[in-house]
Amino acid sequence: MSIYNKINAGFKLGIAEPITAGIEDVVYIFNQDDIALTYDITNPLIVTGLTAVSAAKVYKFEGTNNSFGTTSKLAKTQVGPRYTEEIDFNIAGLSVDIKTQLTAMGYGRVCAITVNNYKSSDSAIELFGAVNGLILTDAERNAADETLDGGYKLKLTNPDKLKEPYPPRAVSIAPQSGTATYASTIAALEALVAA
Amino acid sequence: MTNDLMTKKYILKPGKHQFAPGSAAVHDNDNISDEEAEWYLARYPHIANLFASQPPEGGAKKQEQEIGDPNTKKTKGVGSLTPPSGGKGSL
Repeated sequence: MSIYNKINAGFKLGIAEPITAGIEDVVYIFNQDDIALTYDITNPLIVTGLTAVSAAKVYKFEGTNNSFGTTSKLAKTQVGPRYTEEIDFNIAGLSVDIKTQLTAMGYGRVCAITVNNYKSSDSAIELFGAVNGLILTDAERNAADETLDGGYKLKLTNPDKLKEPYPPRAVSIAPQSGTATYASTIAALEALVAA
Repeated sequence: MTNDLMTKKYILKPGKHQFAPGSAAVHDNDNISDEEAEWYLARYPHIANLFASQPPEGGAKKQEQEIGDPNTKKTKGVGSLTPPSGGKGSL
């Protein structure tokens, strides 16, 4: 049995790769039951593969002006630490198709992948909702709102009463041969994105 | 449960795999036999990409039979060396 309650490494502050805030204004969303995940053989915090069921796709939602964000927070429980996850994003549009997608995200569970601005780590690309999925909990459109100019303000979070057992997973997908890099992971993701 | 690694026909790529989305990721190359792999492949065809190598059409058992039958192998070999015309005037 692995030792799960003993730390085994520290952290050294340096100037080589200082942390930076924010995520890129893009979020990849897919239906939870559309994609099978592969995890690192020894570390469940690393997702090493995404396999689409049948012709399932990943859908890319783009934004602008650093308006997307993610939050993961430890929630102490009587059975150990659990994590809540939130993804704030927006859609700068208004159409029946957008409304349809938002309705679907309110009923079904999705998973979401975001890309951190901080790329100098093995957690540059993160997957949210790996176990219990995410559900759309806020979808607000104020036609008179100047901040979003009539666009949709959206939030994906864990479904009611559910949390994740781990922090957001790092996505790290290797190319056909060689080791996984940021570029190979993005390439694998983009290959799954619906045209 | 597992076949000998040298004779195993279905080799899962490294990692712990979900075969059905949302399930626990429990499948790896150490805990799946050829028979199980074929069973899962028949029901979850999308997992084909998770295997590094697969036997040809017909599955692992058929391939073993072909290898074990010297007559079949010989006939195949001769056939592959003989041009469709029968060999006359091919050069």
